[in-house]
Amino acid sequence: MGVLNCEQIKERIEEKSYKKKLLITPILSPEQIGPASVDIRLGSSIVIPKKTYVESQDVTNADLAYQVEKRVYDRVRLKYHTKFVLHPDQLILGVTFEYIVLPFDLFGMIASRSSWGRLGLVVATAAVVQPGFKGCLTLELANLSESPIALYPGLLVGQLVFHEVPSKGAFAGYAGRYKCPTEAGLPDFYAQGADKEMSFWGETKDSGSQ
Amino acid sequence: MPQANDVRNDAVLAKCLALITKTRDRVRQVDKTDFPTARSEDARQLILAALEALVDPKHLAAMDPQVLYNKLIRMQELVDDVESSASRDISWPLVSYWSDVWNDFFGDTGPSVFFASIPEHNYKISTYSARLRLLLTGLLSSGVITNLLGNRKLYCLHLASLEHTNLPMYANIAHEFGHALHDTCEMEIHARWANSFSPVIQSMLLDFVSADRDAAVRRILRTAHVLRRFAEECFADLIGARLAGPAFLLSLDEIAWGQDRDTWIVKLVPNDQQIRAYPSFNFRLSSIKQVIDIVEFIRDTKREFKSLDTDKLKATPDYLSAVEIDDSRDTVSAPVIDQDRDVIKEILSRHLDAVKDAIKSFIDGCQSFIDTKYGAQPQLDIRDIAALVHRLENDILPNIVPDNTLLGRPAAFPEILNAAAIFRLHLLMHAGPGSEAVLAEDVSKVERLTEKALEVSYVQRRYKANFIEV
Repeated sequence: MGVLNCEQIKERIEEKSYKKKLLITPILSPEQIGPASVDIRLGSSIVIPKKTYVESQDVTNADLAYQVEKRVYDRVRLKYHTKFVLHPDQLILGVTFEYIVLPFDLFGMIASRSSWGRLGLVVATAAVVQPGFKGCLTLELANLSESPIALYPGLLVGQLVFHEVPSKGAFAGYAGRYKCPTEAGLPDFYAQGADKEMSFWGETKDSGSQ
Repeated sequence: MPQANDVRNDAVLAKCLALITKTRDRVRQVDKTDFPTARSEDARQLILAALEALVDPKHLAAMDPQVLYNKLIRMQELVDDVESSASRDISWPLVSYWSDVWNDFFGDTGPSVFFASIPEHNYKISTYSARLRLLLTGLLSSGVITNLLGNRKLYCLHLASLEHTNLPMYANIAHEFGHALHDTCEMEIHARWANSFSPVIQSMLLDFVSADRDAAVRRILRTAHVLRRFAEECFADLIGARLAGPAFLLSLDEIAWGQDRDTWIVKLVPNDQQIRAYPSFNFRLSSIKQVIDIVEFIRDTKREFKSLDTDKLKATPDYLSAVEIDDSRDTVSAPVIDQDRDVIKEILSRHLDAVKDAIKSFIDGCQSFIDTKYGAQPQLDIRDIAALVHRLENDILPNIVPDNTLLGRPAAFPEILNAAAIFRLHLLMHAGPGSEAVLAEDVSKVERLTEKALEVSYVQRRYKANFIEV
C-alpha cells in the first residue's frame, strides 16, 4: 500500500462516518493539504525539560519517576502571537494545533517541514502515528542549529504523511495508551502494566553481585 | 526631645515605605505574558501607578502613616488578584470568548473586566478600580485619584480554582456579567424594581407598623435593601440564562449540589449598603427555566439527538426537566445576629409568595428592557449542538459543525459550551457503581476536548477574519 495523495487525503477527510473518517481539525487553510501530506501547526501547550538536581531519569523506577516529574519539567500554555525561543541543543515537547483521528486502516508519519529542517529545527523523533489514534500529537522539538529559533503557536512546523494499512484479520489498531491527549504529553513508560517490564530490567537488591 | 507619637509615626512611615517598595516589586514581577487576557495588564498598571503616587514625597507629606499602613495591608488583596490572573490556572480561550461577550454588552468605552482565580468554590465579581479608589481616598486628593484611575471602571471576576478544568461550569461567568450590567444600568433597572415591588413593600410596611411603629421606617428601608439584593441576583440569572442558556441552568444546579436549595438567605449588617440576600436555588432555577423556555429546548434537542449513536445520550435532555425547581417549601433564614433580624425574617416569610410574584414581574420588565437595548435573546442552534455532541461521543473536538465542505464551519461559543455541558451531564448520569475511575477519566476527557475546542475555534475565527479567502 502506498502513500495517500492529495485527492485520497481529501476523500478521507470528507468521509461522513466518524468511524472511517480521517479527521484533522481544524484545518485553517486548504493549502495545508499538499501533494502527499498535510501540514500541521504548533499548538499552545509546551513542556520544557529543565536542568535539575535529580540524579538521573531512571525510567525503570516508576515511583521515583512520578515523584520527580515536577522537578524535571515545566508546563507552559502559550498564547497566540507569543514568542517561544528554542535555544541551540534545547529539547522541548510541543503539541499539534490540530486534533487528529486516524481510522484503523491508516497509519501516519510525522516529519519536519523542509524549511524548518534547514534551519535546524527537528519537530518529531517519535514519528509514527498508529492506526486508531485520537488526539493531538506530541512533538519533540529540538534545535540542532547554532542560533536560537523563535517559535510561535500556529506556525506550520510539520507535515503528516499517511499510508494505508491492510485492515483485514484481527488487527485492533491503536490500543490507547494515550486517551485523546490535547496537551504536550510527558513520557509515560508505565501505562498498561508496562511498569513490571520496566522494573524487571532496572537495578535489584543484588545488582552488581552477579 | 521628639514626642513619642512622632517617633512612632516615623517608624510606621518607614515601614510603609518599605512595604510600598516590597509591594511594587511584587507587582512588577508578575509575568504579564501569563495573563489570560490583556485587561489584567490594566489592573497591574493601575496598582503600579497608585504605588508610585503614594511614594511621591509631595503626597506622602500629607498622609497619616497609620492610615497609610492600614490601607497598604488591605491593598495586598488587589495584588493577589493580579497575581492570580494567570493562564496556568485560567483557560485563556474560555475567558477570551467571555471577554468578547462582555465587549458586545459594554462596548469599547464602557467598563472592562479581567479574570482572577480564587480558592473558594464560588464565582464573584467586584469593581477593582472602585476598591482601589476606596483605598486611596484619604491618602491622595480626589484630583490625583481621578487622574490615576480615570473614569472607566475595571471589574475583577473571580473564578473558582477548584474546578478550573470544568469549563461547562464556567457558564456561571454569565451570571457575574449580570451583576456588572445591573451596576451599569442601575437607574433603568431600579425604576422597574420600584414598579414591581411597590405593592409588596406597602403590605410589609403595614406589618412593620403593627409590630413596632417606631422601628417601622428603619425596618422597611432595610427590607427594601434585602428585596433589591434578591432582585439583583435574579437579574444576574436572567443575563446568565440569556448568554449561556441551559449550560447556565446546569452549572447553577451543580453549584447548588450539597447546599440548602429551598432557603432564602438574608444577611443583615449595620451598613445597609452591605446587606446581602439570596433567593433560594429552587426559585432561581425555576425562573431560569422560564427565561430559557426549557420545554421547547428539550423538545427540539430530543428531536435532533435522535441521530446520535448512544441511546442513553438521546434521553439526556430529559434531565433538564428534572432539575429540581419546587420552591413551595421555601423558607427564610437570617443567620447573622441583628436587632431587626427576627421581625424582618418573620414578615419576609409571611410575604414570601408576594415577593416571588414581584420578582417575576421585575424579571419580565427587565427582559423587555434588555431585549430593547441589546436585541432579542440570541437563540441557540440546537442542530449545531447535536452535531457537536455527536463529535464528543466519538471522542472528537466539538469545534466544527460539518457543513459538507473540507474545512467545516467553526462552532459558536454558546453551542460549544452547551454541547459540553449536556455531554458531561450524560456521563455523570449514566455512571454505574464501581465505575468511578472510568467516569473520572471520561469527564476529564470531555473537559480536555472542550478546552481545546474553545482554543482552536477562537483562533480559527481570528484567522478567518484576517484571511477571508482561505
